[in-house]
Amino acid sequence: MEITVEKQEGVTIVRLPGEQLDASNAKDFKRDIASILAPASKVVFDLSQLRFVDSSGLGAMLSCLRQVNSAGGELKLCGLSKPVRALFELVRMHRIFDICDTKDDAVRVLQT
Amino acid sequence: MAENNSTVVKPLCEDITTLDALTESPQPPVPLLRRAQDPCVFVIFGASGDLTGRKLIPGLYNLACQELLPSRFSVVGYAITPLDGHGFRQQMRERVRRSPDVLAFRDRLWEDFAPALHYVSGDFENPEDYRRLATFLAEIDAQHGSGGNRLFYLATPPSCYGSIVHNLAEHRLVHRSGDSGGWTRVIVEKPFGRDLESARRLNALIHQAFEEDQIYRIDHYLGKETVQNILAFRFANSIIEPIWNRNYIDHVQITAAETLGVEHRARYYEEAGCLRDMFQNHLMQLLALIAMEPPVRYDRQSVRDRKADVFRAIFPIRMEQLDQLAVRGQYGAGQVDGVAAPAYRAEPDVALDSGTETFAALKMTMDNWRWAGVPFYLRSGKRLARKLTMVSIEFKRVPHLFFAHTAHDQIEPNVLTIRLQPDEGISLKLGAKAPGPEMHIRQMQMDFSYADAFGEFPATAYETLLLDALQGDPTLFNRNDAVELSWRILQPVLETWQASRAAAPFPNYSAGGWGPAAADELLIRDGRVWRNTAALPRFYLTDVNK
Repeated sequence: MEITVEKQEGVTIVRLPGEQLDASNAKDFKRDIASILAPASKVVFDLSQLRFVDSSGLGAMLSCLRQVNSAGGELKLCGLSKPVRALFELVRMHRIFDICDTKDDAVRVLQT
Repeated sequence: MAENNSTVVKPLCEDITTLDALTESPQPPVPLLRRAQDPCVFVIFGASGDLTGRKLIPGLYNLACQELLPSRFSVVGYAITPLDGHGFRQQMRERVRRSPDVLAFRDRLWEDFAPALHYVSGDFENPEDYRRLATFLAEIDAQHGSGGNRLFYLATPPSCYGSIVHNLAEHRLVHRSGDSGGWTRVIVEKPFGRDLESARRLNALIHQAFEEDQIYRIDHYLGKETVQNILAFRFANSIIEPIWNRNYIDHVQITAAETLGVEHRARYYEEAGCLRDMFQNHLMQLLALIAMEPPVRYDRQSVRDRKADVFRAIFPIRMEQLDQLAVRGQYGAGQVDGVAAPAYRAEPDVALDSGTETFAALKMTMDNWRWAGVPFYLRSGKRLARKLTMVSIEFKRVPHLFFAHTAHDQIEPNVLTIRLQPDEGISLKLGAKAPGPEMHIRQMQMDFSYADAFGEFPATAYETLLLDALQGDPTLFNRNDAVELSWRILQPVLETWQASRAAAPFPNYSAGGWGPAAADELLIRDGRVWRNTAALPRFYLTDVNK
């Protein structure tokens, strides 16, 4: 899984590749993201390419949130497509995660 | 595809308004939970105790985060510790913030949840304190429209149950089914009695104020995903049930092994021992789920009837058979994971000549059509070599093997292993042709990992069961008949071991081992061996235990 990482004003922005995060690639995602999250305290997951998430994908993102939170950092999500947003709302994960409309919004919130 | 999605997703949630958005999904997404509807006040007796901060409030917080609690919901903590609502909320905030079980701690979510938490300081025996509690609950009803619905949680030592139940009834805080003024339910923590007689007394005592369908005897094991998955595995797969019987299964092993010693529970454990602590509740429940007949439907009556049938079918253990069917052990000093571990008798608060068992193994058989002649071996112990809870179903060997290069006794039988912890999942061992020009059979393993398939969500056993209780569904709670039946099965063992505590040959296994030699002999007599790992062993009956 080729995760794209960029830095913007002290914030680590992670773009998830591919249209789905599910049982087929959630394990790879967790493995690859671990080293990126370790030194980062302010993180944005850009989900704009994502069209489908299942419970293993949600579980992987939840693990990331817990990892960042336990290290005293913050994680925001942005760019959720309509079906992914609907899924988050169905399982009430939109309350657990901080979700911003755009990447710039997320960076701005993290800098305040 | 759209029609397919809607038929799968629709029954899972009542109030989905965004289904259209999901029709792009290639498969059904994730399980959905149903929000508890009835307004309610959740009253915790023993609110200053460890369980409240460790499991109950984090569980309720998780439910609140997912909007699964009723919209009008309050928690009232009740305990002798002097504290006010503000102090209780502050304490609970810290416990939730540090809890490994919460989905994620967020200030905003806590601020939404915290106003529902209240505290009343009171004694479990003082009628005047219950009067204050009743007044407080009435005020909450008036403020929040709880409608008199009450869910009581007895998170106290069992010795307090009597006075709590008596005072709740005296102060008209219990409404029987059909009464006006709201429903009342009570969750009772284990241990539920310490033998058959005390369990009967406890049932009779609680029945003085509550009807059976108001009583929720909690065993958090039954809320674990992997334990519930036993029923899904057996009855949601058409290929499993036809082979789940004496025609195909040789025997069943249930192991709950801990590497930890008695830790801070020595005072309780000295009185209880392994049989009471692990068998009467957890292991017997696993046995019931493995052995039960298919229920007519997944509901309180059907599931619990079928589980009780299992207990009724177990052959009573007669005292004269005890040496052949039961083994007890107590650990001596040793090494666990390379670290020196003291003997049980050297632990704080343990008697120097303690006769308490820290290990037990039992062989059980059933008098019914499905399981006639199939032994069930159960064992549990402290300070064993590995932390491991699993069920192994060992199938019968093939009747004839015609491969020239593989001896019959070198082929392992098929083994289905249900791992409850760690690395939750299910694996099946199969024979396969090893690569090469000749026909050699080797064992391989098909494996399902919960974490890989469903992600690593935090433990949710308590919140699952709390939500069930709020919704009035006791399917995953123990019924009085099952509790008494399971005690009745163990009673001869308890009595015999109790009577001979002073003569028990303890210690009889080293910390870091797999229990006393007699436990191995229990199976070796039958031509079998314990499975000490969920991984693929090398050769059957030769070096499997090395």
